Amino acid sequence: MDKGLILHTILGLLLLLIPAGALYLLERKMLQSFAVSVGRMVVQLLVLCLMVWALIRVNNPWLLMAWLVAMAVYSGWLVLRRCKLNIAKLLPAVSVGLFVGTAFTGFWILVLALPVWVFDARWFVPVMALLMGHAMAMTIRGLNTYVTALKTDEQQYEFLRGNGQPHFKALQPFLRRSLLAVLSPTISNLSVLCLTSMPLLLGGLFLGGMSPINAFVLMLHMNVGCVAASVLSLAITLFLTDKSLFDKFGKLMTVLALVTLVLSCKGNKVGEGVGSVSASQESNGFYQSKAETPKPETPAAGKKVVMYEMPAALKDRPEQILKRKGYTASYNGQTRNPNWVAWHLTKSHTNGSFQRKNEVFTEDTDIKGVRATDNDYYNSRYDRGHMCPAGDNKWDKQAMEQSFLFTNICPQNHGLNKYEWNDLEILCRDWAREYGAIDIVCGPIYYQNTDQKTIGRNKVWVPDAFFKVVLCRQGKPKAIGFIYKNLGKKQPMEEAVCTVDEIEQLTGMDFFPALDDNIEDRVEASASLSEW
Amino acid sequence: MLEVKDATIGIGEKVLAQGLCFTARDGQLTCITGSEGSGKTTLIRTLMGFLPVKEGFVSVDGELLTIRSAPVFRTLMTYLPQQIQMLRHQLMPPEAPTCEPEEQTVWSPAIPLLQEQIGEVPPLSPEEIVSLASETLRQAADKPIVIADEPAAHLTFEMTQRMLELLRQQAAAGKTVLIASRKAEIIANADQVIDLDRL
Repeated sequence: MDKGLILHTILGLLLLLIPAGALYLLERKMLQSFAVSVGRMVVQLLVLCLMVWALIRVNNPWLLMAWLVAMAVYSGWLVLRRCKLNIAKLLPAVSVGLFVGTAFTGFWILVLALPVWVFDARWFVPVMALLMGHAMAMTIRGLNTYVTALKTDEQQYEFLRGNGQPHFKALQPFLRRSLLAVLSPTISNLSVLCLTSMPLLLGGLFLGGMSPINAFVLMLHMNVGCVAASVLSLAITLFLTDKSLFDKFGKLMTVLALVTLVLSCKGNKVGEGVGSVSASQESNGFYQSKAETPKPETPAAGKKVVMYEMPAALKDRPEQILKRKGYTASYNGQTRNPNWVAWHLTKSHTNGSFQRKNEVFTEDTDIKGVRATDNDYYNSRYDRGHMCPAGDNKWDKQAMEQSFLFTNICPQNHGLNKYEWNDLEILCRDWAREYGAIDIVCGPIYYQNTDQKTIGRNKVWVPDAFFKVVLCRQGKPKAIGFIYKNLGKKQPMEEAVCTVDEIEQLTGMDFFPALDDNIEDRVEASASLSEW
Repeated sequence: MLEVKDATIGIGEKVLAQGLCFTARDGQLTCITGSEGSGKTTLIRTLMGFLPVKEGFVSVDGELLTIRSAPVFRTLMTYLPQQIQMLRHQLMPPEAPTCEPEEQTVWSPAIPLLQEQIGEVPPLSPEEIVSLASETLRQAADKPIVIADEPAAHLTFEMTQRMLELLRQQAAAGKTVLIASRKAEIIANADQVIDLDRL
């Protein structure tokens, strides 16, 4: 390596100072990970360069084919991991699909369209790599759509089978959706000029001394080849995975599919047979994530939505359920406080334009009988502590207003309200953004149920502590609980953490009863802040 | 004609009903009833060859129905499944997804991010269920067997009457009509009732 090259490389790398400088000024914490990833990039690039160089240098047909096989297996693994499907069971099918789809199209282009000597590594490597990359990306889309459609619409498959359609005919609606998922983006992309990546490729071709017409023809073939390879790979993959997806009775081998069904028609009776099938076929499940992943529910018109955040009905104390736009409260006429307040916090609800500054605390006129008023809190030395925070209700004017109803308020120590409780509320919003949605229940705890301290003329009970339980159903479900004393002293979050079971025991409530019992038992038995 | 002889049905290891014997005749409306979990759906699925009989026989027009022969027999059947309200995409196929063109070119080796795609599909309304059922029956006018699993489970009173009317018409046309149901209106209209609770 001559000195000039080293000098120029260093000069080139000086450009790194621009992003590094910006990070240094604004976010120093990220400098280290930036440096690490630059280092990794350099090493990977070097290895890749050497690998391709070696392939071209050695130029051995067997080596080239071995490289293609390795690429296919690696791509297949990526596909299954992204689609969250059972790798051990489906890897052969997907790899073969990608290999055959790519190899067939690649050889067609190399032999018939270009034509060049097939095992010339200078052609073989870039053509196959491009085709494989595209086929992989599209197989992810196609396979995921296919499996998802089968899961949600398994009934349609069974309906078609029951009406006498053969297996592949009954799969047609699902194959159609899979194909559309692959071809729709391709169709919209085909017509768009590729302004950044195409010049790079063309530049490479011209550097290699190609004439414009040859470069044009090559790019044309590659475009067409990519579309062909993706459809072919998907078709072969779906054909080969079929045996792993269906049992000999033509029943979809999945646990998740049935669970999804049970959840989505909760309230309508689900076939007694179906439930037991799921139990007996559990061992056949091809999903990596087992049945423990109830899907996040989004409210849809005319659909009964499972409200996972709702605790079970209380029998040992008065309760009036109040459904609000942003939360549900169980009001206790004896304590003049809510028993609990529960809400489903989605990512989209963590932001909004409706600010709390215009709001005033309001008596809840839905309560018949004694209820808390602003006067009760006046001069009480307690804050009007939100259970469902105003910050979770910025997404809607009415939701924001309703969060200021006294049925969502408890007497809360000012220090707790301002620091620990507020920190927890902020953390919950972070979680909702990270996981898409979480379910939260919180409320007061009274350690002795007699002679409780009260405030105001309406005798609003002052809680001894507050609990909050959080459930995340994204990925492997998990839950965590917190208890904070209603005191103005420092309470580290790590010490406030406890399991949902502990809070259930303390409060006599049953949280998240809509969960499958096994899952409920598991998530409520343990709690670890580090898992979140 | 559908015959069941000394059949034991169940799922996996679990036995739901033993010693079942009955014949569902052409031109008759046969209703299978029984409490929740008594095996109505399992029986229907067995009669269609989706599940094997543990013991005994099921035959269609005198010919033995097995898992292997079932696909052929199913071409003689019209099936209205229990979860018919979930067949929204059968009635209205989903549209092709709309895509914004990306800068990524036709070949995009970038790995696509998959958002949670399990979309909530609203169930069919009672009117839509009845129209899907009548369309299915109309297309299968020449099939001699009609099997309906809880056809009135998601229907209003009025629509239940319409559904019942549809099924009666099928029987009047000389078909074998087999229904699993717990609804009194349907049981009352059946020519033969098989109660899985009283075996």
